[in-house]
Amino acid sequence: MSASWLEHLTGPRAPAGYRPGATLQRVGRNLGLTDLQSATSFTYREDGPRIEVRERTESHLLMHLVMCEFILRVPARDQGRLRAELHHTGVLRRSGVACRRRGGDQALFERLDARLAAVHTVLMPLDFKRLAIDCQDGLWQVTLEHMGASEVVNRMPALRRYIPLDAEQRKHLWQVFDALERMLRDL
Amino acid sequence: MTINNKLTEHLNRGSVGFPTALASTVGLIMASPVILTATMGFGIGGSAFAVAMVIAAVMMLAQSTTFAEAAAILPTTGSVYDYINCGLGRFFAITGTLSAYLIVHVFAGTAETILSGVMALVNFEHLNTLAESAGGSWLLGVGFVLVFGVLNAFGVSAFGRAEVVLTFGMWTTLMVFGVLGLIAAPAVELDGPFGVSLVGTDLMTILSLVGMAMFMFVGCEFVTPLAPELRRSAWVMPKAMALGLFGVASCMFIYGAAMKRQVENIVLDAASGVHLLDTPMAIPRFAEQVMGDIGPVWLGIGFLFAGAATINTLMAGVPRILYGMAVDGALPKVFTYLHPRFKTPLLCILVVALIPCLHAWYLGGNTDNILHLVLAAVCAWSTAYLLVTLSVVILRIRRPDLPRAYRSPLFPLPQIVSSIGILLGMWFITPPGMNPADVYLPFAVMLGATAAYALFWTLCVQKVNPFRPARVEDVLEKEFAAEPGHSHNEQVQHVGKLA
Repeated sequence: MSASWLEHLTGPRAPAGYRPGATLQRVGRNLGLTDLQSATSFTYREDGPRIEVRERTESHLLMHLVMCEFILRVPARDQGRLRAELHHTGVLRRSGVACRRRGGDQALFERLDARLAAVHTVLMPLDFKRLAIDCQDGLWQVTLEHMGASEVVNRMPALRRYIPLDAEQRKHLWQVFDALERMLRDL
Repeated sequence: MTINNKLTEHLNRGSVGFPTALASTVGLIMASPVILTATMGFGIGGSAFAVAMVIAAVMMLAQSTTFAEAAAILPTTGSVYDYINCGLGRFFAITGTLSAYLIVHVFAGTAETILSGVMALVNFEHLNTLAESAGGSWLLGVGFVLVFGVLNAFGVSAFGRAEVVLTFGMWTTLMVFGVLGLIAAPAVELDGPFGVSLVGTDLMTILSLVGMAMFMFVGCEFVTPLAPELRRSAWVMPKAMALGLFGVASCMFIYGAAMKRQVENIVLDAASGVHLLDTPMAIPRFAEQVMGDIGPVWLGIGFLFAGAATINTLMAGVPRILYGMAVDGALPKVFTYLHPRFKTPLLCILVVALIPCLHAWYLGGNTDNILHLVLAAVCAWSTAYLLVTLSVVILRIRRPDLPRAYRSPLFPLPQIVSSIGILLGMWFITPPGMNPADVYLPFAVMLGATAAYALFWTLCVQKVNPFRPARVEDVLEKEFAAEPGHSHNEQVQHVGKLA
């Protein structure tokens, strides 16, 4: 009884005041899409890869953040399991891109890491907070969370602010997805 | 679809119900400045402060009907800005919004920074002695700001899942101590439930305490930005605000009566006339009296977490808002700088951390300044309230045709009551023994600077008539459709596949 009560209080739950899809709708309009359904799955050019978007929340006292994850899926040529994460390096300025294996096959990771040099140039100007590349069940999945396309919903002080994905960052984002799709298809 | 139909649909959808709306109105009850103000108020005024609280509660109840009507006409995320913009124009909207939130935070945020450490450590005697010898327990609050600033700079989220626990914990703590303090045998003989006033009971004295009492209730409008998320917001919001006010008033009355019943208000410094209840020292005395040795520990931990969580919220949210403003071009480009690895807005975090730290340092962390800060914050809040009331009255007169899912009852009586009450509260804001200049001067300087900025921004940057009100339909249309960064000229194609 007490355990379930505690679990109910401390377990995963949507933040108070969170309206699923509201930020996604803003992202959709930000990208020039017409409705919520198109914002969850879209392509940025006619023959381009399909990108899925989903919301992720982070709770704070009387406040929450809504971030959007952009997801790209590409069929893998070989079977194998891998979880890798990429981030920029540097103390005050970006000096490069590092890739870390978080699990899975070392050999597959080494092949991926060797190919990543080709996408370093397009990754450098992109303001991504998280970039994970997973391989599972014959499918590559790229999950990218950008600093923009997020929303602060604050109840103290009572503010709400959508952080847009500006035109320049959108351009970089599409270039990154193009480059990653090409790279992963051949991997 | 017409704007009326869109508005009705907007008001009826939403995912948030009555409990969340209620929680939003009472979420700040355990904030350290609120508790200390209640302790000081009941200590100074006793029964006179209780009367002042009733007056303040009635005023705020009247004010809540105004906020509810404004939110029903304009259920937008801009809330206060949009209400004033439609009633009085952009100049007053910018001034009122900055007054309501930014100026309040310069004062109340600094008070929270100073007090979060003081209120927590005062309950742990040995730690407090140690902290005082190291420069003062207020430095713990500065430490909180710095620690949460650094954590946020590294992209670490503290208190991620603790909101419900914290809110529940704050309420329970205050109510348990209050009720136990009332049930336990009294340690002090009192005339009446709140004791006699040390400063008199005449009308002028009571009015001078209304400003302090208002601080217990400001924040009931925090629920209004939730309007677009509330189910049947026109029905839910006014009831949530009214019940929230009633809940806060009840809790504070119980706490005040218990405090006066259990802690003797002895004179600490005869020369300056400082009494025990004027200081944070009253809190551990009360806790120990009610619950023995465990009392101060419980209350200390409660204040520690409440203070830390409040400061963390400030450090996590406000820098992102500044970053968003910089991306939109409202702030210099330098604020868009992100840490190479963690992609956190470092400069914004630095600015947000420095404001309360430097202000607290300038004040020397002196808790004697807390009441000045609190009252200056009340002045700022009151200014915004007056502007919102004026806007709602103007809209009733100028646009009686607008659809109003909720109408303030007995119009314009609640508006007259709240406005007169707020003006009187501001006029008599300094309690006996305090220099009015200590409150009015910093507030006037901040308000003047805000107004100058608003005038410059509207005239020179936005190049619009600062006093021309916006059309309600335009604001609603923008809320329902247009968004920042909207662009049609890219190659993004809608393929219409549901993920």
